[in-house]
Amino acid sequence: MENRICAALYEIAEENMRRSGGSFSHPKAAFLYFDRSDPHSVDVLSLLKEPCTNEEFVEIAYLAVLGRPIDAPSLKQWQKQCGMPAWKFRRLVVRNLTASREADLCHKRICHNICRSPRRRKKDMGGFMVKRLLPVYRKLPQGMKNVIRKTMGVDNT
Amino acid sequence: MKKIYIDVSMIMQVSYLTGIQRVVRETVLRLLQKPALSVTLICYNSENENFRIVDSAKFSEFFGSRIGTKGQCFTRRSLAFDALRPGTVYLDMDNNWNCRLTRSHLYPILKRSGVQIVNFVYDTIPVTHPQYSHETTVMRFLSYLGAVMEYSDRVMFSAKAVEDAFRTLCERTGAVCPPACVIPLGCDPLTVQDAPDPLPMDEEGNVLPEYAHFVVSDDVKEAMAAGKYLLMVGTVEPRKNHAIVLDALDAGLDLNVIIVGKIGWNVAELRKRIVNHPLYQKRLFLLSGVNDAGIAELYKNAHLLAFPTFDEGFGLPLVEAFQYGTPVIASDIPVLREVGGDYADYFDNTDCHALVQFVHETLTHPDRYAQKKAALAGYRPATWDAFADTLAEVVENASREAGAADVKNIKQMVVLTARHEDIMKSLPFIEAFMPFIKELVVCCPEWNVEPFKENYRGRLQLTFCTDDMLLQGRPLPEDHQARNFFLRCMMMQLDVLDDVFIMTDDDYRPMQPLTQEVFLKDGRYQGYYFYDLREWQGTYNRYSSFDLGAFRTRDFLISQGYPVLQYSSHQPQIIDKRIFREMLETHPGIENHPYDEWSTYFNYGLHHHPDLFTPRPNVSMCWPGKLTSWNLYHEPGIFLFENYYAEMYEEGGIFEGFSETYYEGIEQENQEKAHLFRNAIRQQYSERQVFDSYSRFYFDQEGEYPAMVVYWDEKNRTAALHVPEYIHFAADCWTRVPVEIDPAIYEKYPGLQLRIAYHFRNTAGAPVLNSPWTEIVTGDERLLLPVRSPKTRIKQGTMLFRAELIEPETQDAPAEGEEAPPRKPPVLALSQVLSAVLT
Repeated sequence: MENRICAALYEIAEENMRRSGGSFSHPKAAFLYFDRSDPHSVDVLSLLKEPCTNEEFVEIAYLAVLGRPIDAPSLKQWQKQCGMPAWKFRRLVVRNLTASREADLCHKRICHNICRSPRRRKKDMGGFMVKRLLPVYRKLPQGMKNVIRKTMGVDNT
Repeated sequence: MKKIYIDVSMIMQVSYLTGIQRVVRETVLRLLQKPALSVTLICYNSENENFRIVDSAKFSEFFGSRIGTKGQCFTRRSLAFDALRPGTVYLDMDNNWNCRLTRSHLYPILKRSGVQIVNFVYDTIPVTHPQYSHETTVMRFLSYLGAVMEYSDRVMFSAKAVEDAFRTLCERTGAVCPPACVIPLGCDPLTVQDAPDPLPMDEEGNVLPEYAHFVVSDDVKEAMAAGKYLLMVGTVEPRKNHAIVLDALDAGLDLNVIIVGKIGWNVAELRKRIVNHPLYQKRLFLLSGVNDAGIAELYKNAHLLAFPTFDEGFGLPLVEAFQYGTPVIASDIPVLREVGGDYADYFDNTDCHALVQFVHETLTHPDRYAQKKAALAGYRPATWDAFADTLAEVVENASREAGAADVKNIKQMVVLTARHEDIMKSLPFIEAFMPFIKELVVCCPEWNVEPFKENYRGRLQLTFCTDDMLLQGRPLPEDHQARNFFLRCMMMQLDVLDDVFIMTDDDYRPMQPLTQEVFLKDGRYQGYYFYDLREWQGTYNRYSSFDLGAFRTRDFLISQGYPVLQYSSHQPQIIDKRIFREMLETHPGIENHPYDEWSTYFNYGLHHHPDLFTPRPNVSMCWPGKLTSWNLYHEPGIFLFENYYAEMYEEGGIFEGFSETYYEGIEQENQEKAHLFRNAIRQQYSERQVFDSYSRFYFDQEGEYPAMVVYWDEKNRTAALHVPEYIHFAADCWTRVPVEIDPAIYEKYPGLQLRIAYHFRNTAGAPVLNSPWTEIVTGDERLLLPVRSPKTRIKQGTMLFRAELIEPETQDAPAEGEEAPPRKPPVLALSQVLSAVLT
């Protein structure tokens, strides 16, 4: 539910911004979404139904999935595809964002992700490889271990 | 002792100290020393979505004496957002709008827990002058300030001008301004005065690293040596208006200019202008990363401090300059006039010639300049000690001003009943275990009165109030929930009721000796909730009057901005008749709605009288009677009351063989019953754990939580089904699986319902024994599907999940001898098979 106080504050800030000769680069929808969104989780099903334009949706999706406003280069990229049908565009945005490494690092709970790629990249493949290779490494002679450590940039001290 | 939680999330997170973090540091260090306050420092932990407790002693060591590291300040203890104790204070004075945990998310949780929120607001600049803030900051600040306006119990400001701006914003947004006060910030002399003389050095003649902050750097010395200078201190950002000083320099300013401060946001042009200026490093200097010793030297030796800022929350450089006896020329804006008073001179911050003229006069009239300096000798700024004392007083007073219940003793119990046999069975428990109860007011139909009087032999003084007396000619609503709420609202008009009493139902029984502290503690009414109404799912397909009442109550409470806890905990609760009446007056006609009386009253009370109410998890056993009816929102820590169900004592019931009636010494039996019931909860909980562990594992692997989703596929113009790739249950148990239904489904298929069905198959694909098709019909958008897993353990089975859009089925049961009409085929059937493991 939209917070009326936050919406009113936005109107005041926007008016002050206009008076100073400037304007906000993010739409009102993004400001208000930020206020009401859950910082810890995102419900994809609800997100896809946000009543907004495709351009506004990109802004909102970044806030929802990555917890930050969209950066200018990304916005420019997405704007090129804003002419797509809404359902297609929105799914594309959400699929890309939820599959990104940044989303992984955000630790947001993603619920009802109907845009999920069928074969999503598994997390922590590096950790998986380390687990498999560590026993082999331990059996190597010290000299070889040192070479590997040097190659990997690990300080021998 | 007043308990305060101070949120130090940002000061613990950032590697630098801005003005706000300096305020936080100075305040926290001093509040920790106050014996009258019990301070707990908390820091947001985004990974676990809770607060981490910060070690106060180590915080003091690190921020006070520079001993240890920040990391060492953290303890292993944590605190859930909703675990802050009722009646405590949450002090939010860091720049927490930059915290990921938005205040619009956190504050409602704190309010639901009965925590008082106290804020320190430094300025409103991102709203009043958004052009001077990064847009992301504006976005975060709007959300923060909106939450302060909506939820804060007390707001403190650094200046009256900031308070005025805040009040204006409240008026313009329609928010109610919380109680407010102004506490000017402290300003102690910079720590350079504590420097040992001479500074300890190593063998090579270098100052020891731990004393490095006492050393004035060479670039500072060089800049000072270039000649008399005009000083500017503060982050280099557009709001500080450095450009006017550069303009003044170009217009013939008679002084050198030294700008000190961190390079901030959106100043690339300005920085370029400075470093490309022909006088750069000759008469114009830009210094960053200057330590306290350097800043002190710069203040001490400056001819003037210029502070041409466009807007400010306080203006600390002004006060710092006064301390060093340095005259100040500042912007003519209200906040600086307030802080600088007669000690400073003011100019139009858009007129560089005014600045040039002022500087010229100070140079050409040394007598006047000397007078200004002499006047500053009498300047005494507020100290951080004074600031912290006042702040502590405000926090303490905030709690004192908060009212306490004016009732000391509760003696009356009120029951609404139409079954006098039931209350007669419960009364011996009340008489034995609630000795403070002396009177019983029975609200019942007329025909209940005589049998009650004839059969009652107990110690309670009885008063009867019949339905006719309550209704006074008005019709009794037919709906169960509407009737209950209506009668209880009418009951509040009775003069026979005490101002404060215990309201109960005929089947709520105390299980052990109780004192009135269960209901009234430290002057606060203890309200017992058992659920969050927003989470309440009810019984699918067969919503009871109770469920529908809960849904309506939820909608009403949300529409009013009230908390939404569910207080129909099936145990006696304390009621203040005056607050109940106040609620009826505030919401005229509310009695005609089928709302849940407990939730409406307690949430209203908590919102309007947060100082009088403490929400507590329920302490009732056998709610629900069948543990599979819903997932417990929390497990009661102790059972003080039993919600009596006769069938639980029948053959096969969990309490088979136990006494249903009171006898002396029944406490022992009650303890055994509590033990049995707790075991049943634990059993169900451990079964649910299998699914919860699976959910977490699934999230780690797939990046999302598992759920069944029925949605409208815009691409193929049809309904579609999304299911997890695999699912994991405990065998032979009930688990609730989230199912989401896209509202578009009901729009695209108007008038239809959704029939959701599932069953399990074994490794060979054959239906598992004990796993018949299970079906739920719904018209909702969200449900927790009760899944009954078969007894058989299966390593590699499947679950067939089916969603069918159907026409609503007739509810009429076939007449005797008639066969049920054949089921109509579904309009659309969707099904998916997913791997299932039953352990």
